[in-house]
Amino acid sequence: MLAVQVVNGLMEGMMLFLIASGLTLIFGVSRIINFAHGSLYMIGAFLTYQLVPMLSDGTLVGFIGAVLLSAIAVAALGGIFEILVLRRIYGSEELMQLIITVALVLIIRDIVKLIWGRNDVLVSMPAELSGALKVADAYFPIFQLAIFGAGLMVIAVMILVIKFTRAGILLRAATDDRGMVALLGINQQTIFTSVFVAGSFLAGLAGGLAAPFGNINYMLDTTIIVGAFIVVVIGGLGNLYGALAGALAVGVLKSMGVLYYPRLSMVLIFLIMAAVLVARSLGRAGVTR
Amino acid sequence: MDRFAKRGVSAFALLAATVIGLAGPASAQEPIRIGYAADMSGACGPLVDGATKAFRLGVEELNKAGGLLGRKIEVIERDTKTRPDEGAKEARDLIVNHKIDLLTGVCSSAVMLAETAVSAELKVPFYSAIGNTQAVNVDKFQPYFWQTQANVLMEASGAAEYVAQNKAWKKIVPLAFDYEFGHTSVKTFSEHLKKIRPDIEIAAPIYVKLGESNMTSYITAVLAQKPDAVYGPLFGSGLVNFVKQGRSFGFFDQTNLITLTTVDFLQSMGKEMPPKGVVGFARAPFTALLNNPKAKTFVDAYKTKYNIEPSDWAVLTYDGLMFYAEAVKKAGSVKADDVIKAVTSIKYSGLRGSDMSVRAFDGQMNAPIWVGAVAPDPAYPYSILKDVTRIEASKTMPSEEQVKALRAAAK
Amino acid sequence: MTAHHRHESIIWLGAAVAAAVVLFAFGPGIALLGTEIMIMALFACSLNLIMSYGGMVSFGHAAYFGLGAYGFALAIVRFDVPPALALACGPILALLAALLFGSLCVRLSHIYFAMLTLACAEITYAILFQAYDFTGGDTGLTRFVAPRFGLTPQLYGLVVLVVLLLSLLILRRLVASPLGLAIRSVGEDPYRTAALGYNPRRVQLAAFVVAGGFAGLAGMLFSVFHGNAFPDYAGLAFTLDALVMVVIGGLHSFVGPIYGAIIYLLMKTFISRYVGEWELVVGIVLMAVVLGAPRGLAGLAARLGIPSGGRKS
Repeated sequence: MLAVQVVNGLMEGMMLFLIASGLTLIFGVSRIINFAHGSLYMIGAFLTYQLVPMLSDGTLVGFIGAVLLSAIAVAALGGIFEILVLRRIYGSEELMQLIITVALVLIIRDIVKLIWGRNDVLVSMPAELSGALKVADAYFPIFQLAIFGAGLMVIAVMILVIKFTRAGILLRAATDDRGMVALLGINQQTIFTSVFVAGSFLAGLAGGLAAPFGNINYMLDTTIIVGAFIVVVIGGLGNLYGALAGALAVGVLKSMGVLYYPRLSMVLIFLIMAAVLVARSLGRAGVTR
Repeated sequence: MDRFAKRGVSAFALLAATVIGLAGPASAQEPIRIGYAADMSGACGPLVDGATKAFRLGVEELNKAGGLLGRKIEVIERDTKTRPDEGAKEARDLIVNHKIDLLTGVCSSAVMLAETAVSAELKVPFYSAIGNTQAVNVDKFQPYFWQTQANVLMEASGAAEYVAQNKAWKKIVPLAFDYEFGHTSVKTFSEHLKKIRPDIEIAAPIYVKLGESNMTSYITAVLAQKPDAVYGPLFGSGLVNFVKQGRSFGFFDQTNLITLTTVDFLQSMGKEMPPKGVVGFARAPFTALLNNPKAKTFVDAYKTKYNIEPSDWAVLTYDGLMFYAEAVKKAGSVKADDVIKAVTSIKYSGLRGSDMSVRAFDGQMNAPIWVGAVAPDPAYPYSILKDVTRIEASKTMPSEEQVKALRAAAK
Repeated sequence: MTAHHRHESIIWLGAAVAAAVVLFAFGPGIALLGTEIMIMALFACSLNLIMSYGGMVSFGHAAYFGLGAYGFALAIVRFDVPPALALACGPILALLAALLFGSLCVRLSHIYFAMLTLACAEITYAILFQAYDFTGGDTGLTRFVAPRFGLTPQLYGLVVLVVLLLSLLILRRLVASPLGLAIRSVGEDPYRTAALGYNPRRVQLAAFVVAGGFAGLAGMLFSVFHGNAFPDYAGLAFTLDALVMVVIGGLHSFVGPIYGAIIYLLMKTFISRYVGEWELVVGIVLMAVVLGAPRGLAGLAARLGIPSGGRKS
């Protein structure tokens, strides 16, 4: 029983991480608090819904193809937004950057409503991923196991890119000291744009991958963004491994909480974040910046 | 000159200028004005969609037939954004600025309670056709209100009536969203079932965070208790998630789900609906009404106009409007007191059958609910309720004494 | 009283008379809308104090608005406090909550500060939402007083106008006082302020508590206005409303939030009557403001020569 809940929590945590990864990546480099990350996720889900029947409904190949195409489209959209809008306000206060992403949330939500309507739409589960592994009495759904695997793959790719490629080195350098990278003659603008595109890709990917898991409608953005933010904050903004640990911890704690006091789940995630933040602030004297 | 003061002046001047520009023109008293303040955007948006379509269709038909009492019907639509403050604000504005004769719309319990308070204050008739908290009938009842669908007490009792007939079920786990509707539904269901089937074990309820999209940990927690059935009064997106995710845990092979299956939900699910294991209760499934020529006409008209079959919300909204029209004809006036008198005295036959009436002491219509097994049907691209039982209000409606007791308890 | 002060008072008085004329000249519908705008303007001004002056962006300011409403409502419903006394309970409850939450939040800065204020607000919201027997849960509290205590919309509007003006005068005095200067100074550079001998956290906490108190006052006025209280009043939607009002009106301006409240509420109220996609319009306006007029309407007005320049720094 406990084991089942823990495994469940880990799988839920990995889904959270998939959403949070792009968010923390973008923040780490550009210091942009991207409220529209959930909206990009939502577009990824809707595009997958649109593409799956065009490719091959109900098959794994069709699903993966649709997800990748959707993620690429969302990445392109993110790139356009970065170039046309975000680029103009990197110098201004963080509040302005935040508000502009809030504006984007409002705009995307209504456009999505205009295109796909108000009712829930669904993506059918690929045949290869439906069903569950049965161990003793417990069911472990293949789809969630596959998502867990996809999450591990995303982490592996991210680590490889960050550790071993020139882009990764630049990215790490930019996360540490943006000014220094600029001084070295690297075009900072290119880095920001690439990172935003990569982050948007991850948002689209997460949205596409999760599409068969539940309902898709125009409120998906707000449904997921707060949780993703909290995971990123718990892990430490810009800290990829922190986000992973935070996501898994949140998933497991929530899953365990259901066993003992389900009504707590309304605030559980906020309590965890508050505890982490307060703990972090304790022992610090004077001013923190 | 001081800059703060100057800014103060310009701000107030701006307020003055805009407000002057907005003072609307007064218009003639001729048409009957209906204020339709509904949760068009926000959390209730998807449910209200079909309701609004049906309302527009109904008004169009009434006007084509010459209106009511020889007067045209004019509808002023407002979006309450599923926010109670917006609901109260729009209701008040409709009454004060537009002199409406009737207020309706709503969906969410909170918005409904906010609007019914305004209706009581300004003495304008208000009815609900799709939101169904019992609070508006019980402790928050006011004489200018009525509702035309089964409230949550009746709905949950009706589900219990149906469940009681299944002798094979010995253990039920309730699971609901963690808000007033969910709590009341579970409490009523459990109490009603205990009364008629004392042998059934009802486990401690599990409450799910409202708006939760990942149901997996709730699903496994429920399954671990090995229930014969789960009473889960979920609906809309939450239900979609529960059923989709439940399937991957083999939920419907291991147990049964008793839940609110409205037609829009079944349409969204399409072929994704499990072929067995779901017992649905519903407030007005059109598939169970087609023997009634009035309902058949409506379903056809709706389908012609919007190219989809009407959801329960659409049927209820249309039926609620026609009930009002009938009451106005009887009253010969749209004055609040006359309308209320007619509302609580007429016998109405509409889409959901004949002999429908509203009680004066709690404004509740004797609306039935429908319960059946959800299964695919060749006539539709989605599953529908099969072997439907119509559970009459006489079996589910709390008596006047019970309502009084509930009112006393709520004090 | 100096000539300068007298001059200023006359101008405020003129503004007040203009607003009162609007309230009384165009019927109850306009009076209701005007009242709502004034209440939300007060709420936005309270947020502006910590945002524009204290440099603290809160994602949870609605908590104090909501507690202002519930302090008033619960005092009447659960404790049978006479309504006149209950009016004070709202702001006091908000103030106390701001003291409690604020003392935790000011230990952090920037986004971490914002996220902790969010957590505090969501916990508040959840308590209001879940404690049925006490707070009425998600279905809230209704019909415990006559809306506006039965005053006509015009008369209640006048009351709100007076409260708004008094509050603005107090806030305006505050930002010009030594404490106000300290708040601005911490907002710009906490290190330098610390070097000057101030305890930055204490200064921030003072600002936070004052802002919470005025938010509570606005929430109480809102609760009287509608004669109800719902958990939504402490929810994220109200916080976002206030943030948007401050930004549209103009960050770093004392009266900006008033402009913001006027524009935002008119948009929200009237656009949604004609266009289902009202949020799209708000989003576009917001984006245009941030890109084209980052100082908001107050900044635009200043550029056009209307005296409403930003805060001096």
